[in-house]
Amino acid sequence: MKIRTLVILCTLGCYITLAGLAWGGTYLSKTEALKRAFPQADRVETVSLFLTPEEVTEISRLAGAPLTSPLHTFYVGKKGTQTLGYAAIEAATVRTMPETVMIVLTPDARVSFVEILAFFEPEEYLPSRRWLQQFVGAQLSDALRIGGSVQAMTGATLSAQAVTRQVRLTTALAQRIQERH
Amino acid sequence: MNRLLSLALLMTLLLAQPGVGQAASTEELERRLDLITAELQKMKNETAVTDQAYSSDYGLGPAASKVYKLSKGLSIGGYGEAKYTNYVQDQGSNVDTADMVRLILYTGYKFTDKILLNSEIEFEHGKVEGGKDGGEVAIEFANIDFLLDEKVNLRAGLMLMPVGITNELHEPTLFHGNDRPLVERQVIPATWRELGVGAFGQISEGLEYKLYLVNSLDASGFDSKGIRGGRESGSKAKAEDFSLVARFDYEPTLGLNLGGSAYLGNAGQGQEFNGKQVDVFTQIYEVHGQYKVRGLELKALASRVEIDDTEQLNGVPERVAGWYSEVAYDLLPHIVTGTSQYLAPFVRYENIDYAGSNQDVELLVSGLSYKPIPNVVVKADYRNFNNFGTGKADAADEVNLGIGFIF
Repeated sequence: MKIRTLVILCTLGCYITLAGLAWGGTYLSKTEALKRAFPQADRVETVSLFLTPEEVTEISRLAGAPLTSPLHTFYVGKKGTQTLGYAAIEAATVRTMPETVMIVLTPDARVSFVEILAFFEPEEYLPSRRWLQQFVGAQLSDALRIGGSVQAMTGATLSAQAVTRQVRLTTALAQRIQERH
Repeated sequence: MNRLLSLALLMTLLLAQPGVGQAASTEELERRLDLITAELQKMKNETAVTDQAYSSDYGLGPAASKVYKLSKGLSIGGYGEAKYTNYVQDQGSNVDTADMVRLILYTGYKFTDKILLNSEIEFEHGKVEGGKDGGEVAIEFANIDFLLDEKVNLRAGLMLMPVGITNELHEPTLFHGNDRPLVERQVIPATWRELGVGAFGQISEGLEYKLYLVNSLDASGFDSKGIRGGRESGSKAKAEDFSLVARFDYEPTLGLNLGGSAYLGNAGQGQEFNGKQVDVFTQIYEVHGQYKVRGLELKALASRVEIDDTEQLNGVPERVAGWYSEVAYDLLPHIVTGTSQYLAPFVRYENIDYAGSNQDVELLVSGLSYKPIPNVVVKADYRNFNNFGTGKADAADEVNLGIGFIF
């Protein structure tokens, strides 16, 4: 009997303690994220890519994943005339719900870091910081895939696949930016 | 949809409006194009991360327009598997079968950032019909999580027991072969869930724990194969006895997972067995490891169940010990460069040993798992049973062909 009473009290206690917590699913706003992407920058510019159908096909082929839009926006961190890096903020579907990921690239299109800005699937599928860190320094290659140089995430296969796909697409797109700037 | 209409209107106005009686300059057109691009980027990719500046969106007041910026919190998913079994040796009276093994619908609801529901409803073996031997409809789990702190979170409801590899992660894309490992069916009775409360969290980077208090197993369901029949699954469960389950998982480096768990508790549930009330203290211990690197997958698990007072329980073993180990390798990237598909041959050896009953079995499974996309798997496997030392004939060998999916 004592254990049961304890269980009931614990459960009630939890409800009371936790009542009134906030809505959400967003970890970082765009402004905060871009500050984190380019802490040294004196300004952040935007560069848009308006791709031709041929370019969409080519980038999809390079990335090994379909590019769903011909229009892409990159943020460019600038200090004076110096380019500090590029950042893409992209939303994608994980299972049925979206995540928003920021991929920050160095001026030579290597991954500087990857940050999850918003995640609407259950939190247990959220990629850990340590898992995201394996993209640091990565550039587009055949090995940049799960089972290649990217480790799978136990129990969160679809999140892992979604983020890896976004990194591949962004690094493929970044090659275009470099060609043009 | 409203947003798309508004955007179309905005684009038309911006591009068509030439100013006062003259065509817009190239600079002006560029400026407008930039505006439209920025708006599109916001809608496509930044809905969730746009700063909340108490602005009014699309003519709605700030409070009302909030619903456009936030997720509604509902998450839907699911998985399923179907298989065809052909008995190839010593078929005996077995009939080849085709089975819609299970279809599961997952629903999650995020009430707030910190309080959420996870649940799964399972349909097994195609259909359920009154009075006939068929499938079942069951709640696989339904628990509310209270996310307090990375180190301590609370969970209550019908919970998957955190024992073994497969019980908590049982989607068909996550294990090789059409059937889940036999050790995680007969020794650890996956899918195993009970009602209770618990805590879980991450103690430090890569070190996670779970600690649950749940209603105990019911020893009146135990049989010669062990505890499987004693699962209560949250269905008017007897709750005279409670059990503790503890689990640790350690990931020293990405790709290497090591873990173990223990389950302790009485399963007598206040009942009499052969005229005597006994505790039937039941203990389950389990250790497991998985290692994945560059297409190579290694997996191993060992578990031991100990049941007290078996002299009062007819034919129930006092100890069940089982282990398996598995190796698989994704060949496809070596054949097709840059492929995102997956093709892995695998082999798994399993061994279950009983003390106090006559059900010992050795199982060798080998086969192929093919994933054209990560969500879909096509499986083929061969299962060879050896009922060594039981004095019984070996169970028939099987060829299994199946599909599985997760979304």
